[in-house]
Amino acid sequence: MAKMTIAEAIRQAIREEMQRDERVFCIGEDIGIPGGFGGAFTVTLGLSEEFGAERILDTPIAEAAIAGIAVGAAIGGMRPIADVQYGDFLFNMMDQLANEAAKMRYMSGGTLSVPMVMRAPIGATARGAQHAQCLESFFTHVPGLKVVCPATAYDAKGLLKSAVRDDNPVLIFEHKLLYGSKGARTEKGAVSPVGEVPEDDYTVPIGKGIIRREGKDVTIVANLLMLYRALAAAETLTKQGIDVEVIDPRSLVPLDEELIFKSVQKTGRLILVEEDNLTNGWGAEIAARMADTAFFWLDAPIKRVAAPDVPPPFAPVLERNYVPNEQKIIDAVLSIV
Amino acid sequence: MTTDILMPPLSQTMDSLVLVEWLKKIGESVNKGEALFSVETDKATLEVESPAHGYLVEMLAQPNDEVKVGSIIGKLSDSAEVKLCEPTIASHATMEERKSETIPTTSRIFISPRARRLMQEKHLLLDMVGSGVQGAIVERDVLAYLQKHPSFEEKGFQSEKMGTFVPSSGAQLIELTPTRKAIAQHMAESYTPVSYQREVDATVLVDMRQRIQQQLAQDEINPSITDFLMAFTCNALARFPVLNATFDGKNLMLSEHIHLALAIDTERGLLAPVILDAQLKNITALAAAHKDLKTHARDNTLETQTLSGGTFTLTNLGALGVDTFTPIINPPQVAILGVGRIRDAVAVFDGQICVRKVMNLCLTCERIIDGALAARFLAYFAALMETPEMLLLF
Repeated sequence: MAKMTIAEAIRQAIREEMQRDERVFCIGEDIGIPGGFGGAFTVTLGLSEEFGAERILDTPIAEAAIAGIAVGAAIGGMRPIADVQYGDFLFNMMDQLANEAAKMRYMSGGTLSVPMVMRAPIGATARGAQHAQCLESFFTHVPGLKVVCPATAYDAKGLLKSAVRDDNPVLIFEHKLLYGSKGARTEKGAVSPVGEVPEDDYTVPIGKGIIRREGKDVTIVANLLMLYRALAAAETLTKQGIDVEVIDPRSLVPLDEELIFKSVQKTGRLILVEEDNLTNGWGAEIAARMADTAFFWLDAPIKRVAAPDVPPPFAPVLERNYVPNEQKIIDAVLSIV
Repeated sequence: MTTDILMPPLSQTMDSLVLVEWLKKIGESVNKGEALFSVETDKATLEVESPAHGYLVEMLAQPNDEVKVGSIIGKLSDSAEVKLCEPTIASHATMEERKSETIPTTSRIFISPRARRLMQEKHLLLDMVGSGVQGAIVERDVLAYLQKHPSFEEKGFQSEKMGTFVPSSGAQLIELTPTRKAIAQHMAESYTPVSYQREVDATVLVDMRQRIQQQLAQDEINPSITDFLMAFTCNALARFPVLNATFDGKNLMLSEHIHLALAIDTERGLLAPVILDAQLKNITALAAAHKDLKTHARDNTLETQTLSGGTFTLTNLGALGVDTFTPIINPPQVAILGVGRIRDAVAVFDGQICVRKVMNLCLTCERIIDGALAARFLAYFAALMETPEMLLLF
């Protein structure tokens, strides 16, 4: 089995899906220019040579156009994989995504479907307030969109394949520090998990979370980069005799509520860790659902660890304090055990 | 509505009394008739019962304060913010374990939903110490409590099984005092034992005790039949140590010491104060200890600690005219010996029909005790009664 970074695993998934189904194509900024990076984070590197500019479509800097083309192509029977350089630019596409992609199937009574994939890199990486946000929660609020967030190479390939084959619009949020991008696009401070990725065709179902670490005292649900910080915190807490269970939701819409419920039933304690601003994040939604369904299993208040309600700062010192770190997660655990 | 807690006139000679301690905490609920605080008089330290149901909301007097009789020392309210735990007999034990750092800063007691669920499952309605966020009672506190009190884990209060009792008209509702509740709970916890009974000839014992009484008429201590029976009990238990034990539903713990509990009828109800290391005492010492317990029981000055720790109980209903009965085990003990009335009966003795003094022995054992062993214990006890000189051998 090949060892891959997340960027390589996504590239492999795109390649396999494009080989499998000629309706699949990529569209984005600088994803296929000769001598380019292969998108901002090397994901599509080499694919234009392999599939040609017809299927690796470079666009001007016009995100609304990318989304509009993708939505139209999807309605017309294609299976586009659209790309933004930074997730923050999704705001430029908001009408296409929230009003068109999300609602066409509903408004047409099921006559139309929008089988598009929208990939978006997120996370604070010393790029300032407009290139650093985590945007999953915005889209979890829009009925009709699926939202996934792969944190391992295996899941990245499997979830992208599921997204391409899904008849609904799926947003895939990828963390810049997890890509493992190489060369000129190497990220400072990256975690870059390298994992075994099967070469054969497999999918990871959308809507299924996974327990990354079993424990009995506290449940932590953390996605993307926060998953790794939660795992590190769990390791540190072991020395204090605290046994932390860490869940990677993998998919936020639909959410694997059952998995989280069962874990809370076991541990009685729940902490949600997200890199996004605290207010109205997906963590708040899970907290509310567990307060509803798992209330009588809770042994302590539910806690959230998230960024404060300010834009991501540009100054590295401030950014380090802004993004939840291992210590903040440990403090949250210690406050409720 | 609030009720004033007054310093009661407990002494005929003193105008003011010393508050020893509050037995409840601020915010804790208390039933009418339940011990609320203790007071030192010139004669003894007494527990004082709460004048009403409610919640202790104010302590105007502190421990060691000398307070004028009739003055207000605290207040009860019927509408505290809290209504979470009904206090039970367990509250004293757990209060001792309270650590200052775990006491909530407010008077409210929090229980986590998870802990509350567990308490409901186990039929626990207990006041216990919380170690969770804001001093909340959390699951581990309930588990720790259950571990310390295995009898709850096994049987709970069994309140659900009892159903609802609808009194007929004219029925009088008697509020149970803590002592009564404790008795009922102890009785309910011991529901599977077996009883063994046999008749024994007490003629020799009665005769011997009369002769001793005459010889020692001037002495302050003059052993009663019960005192002799206590000595026989210790002697027999030394021979059958498995009956001098405690059983928590899982483990049988044999005791090296014979801490003999003696059932005593008091105004508060049946109590079984304990004579520690009874095996070390001769009959006169046992008689002295017995007399002491009876005095304290009558004056209502028995210390709480003398009511626990027994390893075997002796109960004598003979004075009340009962011939035979089924004594109820005092958990976690495994056995209890009951003795009935000594009466004249026509009997065959030495091949002759004659009138003898006879008495019934009634031994109740937990089921872990074999019937044959119980029978041998009774046979040996009967032999001691019929041949009390055997005590000279020990």
